[in-house]
Amino acid sequence: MNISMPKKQKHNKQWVYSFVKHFSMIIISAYFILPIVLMIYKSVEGKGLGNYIAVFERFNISLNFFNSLIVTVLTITSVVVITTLAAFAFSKLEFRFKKLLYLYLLIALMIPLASILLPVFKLIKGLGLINNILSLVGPYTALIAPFNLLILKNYIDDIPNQILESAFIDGCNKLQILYKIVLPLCKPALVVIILWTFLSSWNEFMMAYVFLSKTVSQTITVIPSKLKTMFFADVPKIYATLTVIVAPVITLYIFLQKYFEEGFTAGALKE
Amino acid sequence: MKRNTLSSYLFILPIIIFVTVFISLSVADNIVTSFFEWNGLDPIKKFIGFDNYINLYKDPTILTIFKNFSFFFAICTPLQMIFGMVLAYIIKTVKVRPVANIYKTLIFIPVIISPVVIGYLFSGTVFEYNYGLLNQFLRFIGAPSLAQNWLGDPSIAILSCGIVFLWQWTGFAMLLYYAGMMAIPSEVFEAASIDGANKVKTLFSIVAPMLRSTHYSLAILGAIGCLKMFDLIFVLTNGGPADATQTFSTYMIAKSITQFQQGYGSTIAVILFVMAMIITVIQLRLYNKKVG
Repeated sequence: MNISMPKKQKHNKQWVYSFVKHFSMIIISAYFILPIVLMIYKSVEGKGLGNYIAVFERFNISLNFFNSLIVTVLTITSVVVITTLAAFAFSKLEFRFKKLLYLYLLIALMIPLASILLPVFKLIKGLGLINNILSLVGPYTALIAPFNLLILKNYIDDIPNQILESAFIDGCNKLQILYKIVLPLCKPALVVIILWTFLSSWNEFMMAYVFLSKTVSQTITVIPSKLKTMFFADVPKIYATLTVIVAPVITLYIFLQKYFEEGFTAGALKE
Repeated sequence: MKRNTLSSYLFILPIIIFVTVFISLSVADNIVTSFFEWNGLDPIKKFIGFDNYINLYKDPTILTIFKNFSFFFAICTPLQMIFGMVLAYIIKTVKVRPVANIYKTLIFIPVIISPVVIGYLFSGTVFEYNYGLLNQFLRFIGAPSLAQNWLGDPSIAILSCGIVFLWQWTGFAMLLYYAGMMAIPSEVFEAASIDGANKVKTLFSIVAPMLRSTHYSLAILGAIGCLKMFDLIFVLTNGGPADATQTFSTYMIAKSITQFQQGYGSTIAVILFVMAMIITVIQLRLYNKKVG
């Protein structure tokens, strides 16, 4: 059918198709990004960047920002340490009940946070860690680590055994093999798990909301729940705070897009 | 490598400890607490057998929660998948890589943003009755009668939550389908002519069947995501108005923390856990089928 069409007409048709395609994609992209653009726009209404300065200086959001940062950095550290150890063992070492233990950890991947919230709260209370941001690091690690284990184990599976065998013959022990040979080969996967942990920990709300009741100890995601009482009708400051929460995530995403996307697709496609 | 098994266990010990202490023991603790009546503060708990489960069975809100879960899973998730697949397909046909990348990035950004922020953003800028984008738009196009109290009306609040859920996660489906399409040989796409109608046909009758594992993944992840739903609902409606938008998590928090019924809250948590396990078993079945 197309072959019999005059050349010019075919060309026109292609042009129209391309125009319609890009026009609709621009509208659709705008639909997805508009609320975020609106948030940034509203955050500078009135006093401009002064809204941000006020939020940081007068309302001490910087404190909550640092709380989030500390929790996130500690969670990343513990998740990376325990998942590299475990992923290496599950991928390259032999031991009894290996499959069963791996399944046990993967089932933990599916557990909703809400179904462990109250018992963990009791445990934290018992340890006297209520209102202590450190109380979040343990449960976050337990919830986030299994997914990262999955990603990293799949990655280590692709490293040929011969490389490790020869190092073993050269007298390296298992831990040395992990740190000297395996980890340097896993850099891309490590970036993925660091980003994934960052995102999960930074954005977490339920546990932080329940465990931390004092403003000074709260993480930044808890702050919006009291913005209305903090700023009354000062709407731009509310949007400035929301923008502060989102800024690190979007900045990292823009610079490390490839790794973010790998993290999101790895778990889903490789299982 | 030499199999010195005892030291191998040391490598997995830390993660086993974390998962056992915080997850397995917590699940067990919830099961125990679900047989008690307890306000969460008193040292004394009252054993009441299966009473919490019987009350839960009679609780009309539990029915609402299952309905809401079905709404998110059976309606919103498939819509996300269809939209995501169509968008991925269109983006894949964009020849200029940077332009394709811009579309992809903009559509994906909502996925990484904290649902708390999204909740405030939508309740403040989109759904607000007087100045919200949605009502202003409806008035602008001359349909002011369609303007609604989007989050305050029990009959449409869940729909509004669904709109936000759809908005946030379509980019995720798009990304997964895009990755899936990259694995399909390019001849399959090239075979489709310039004709728009044929492209639609190519997508649904040739490409879509080749993306079966992506459909599975998205369905499973969608089921778990709908089950876990908390932040967004908590901020948008907190389960209201009149419990119309409750999810397992929001209702569990409302019962155990706001209303001091931890025994009942734990019972909800147990049901949530059981649902997650059912989904896991289905997933493992599907996975084994795929491999076998």
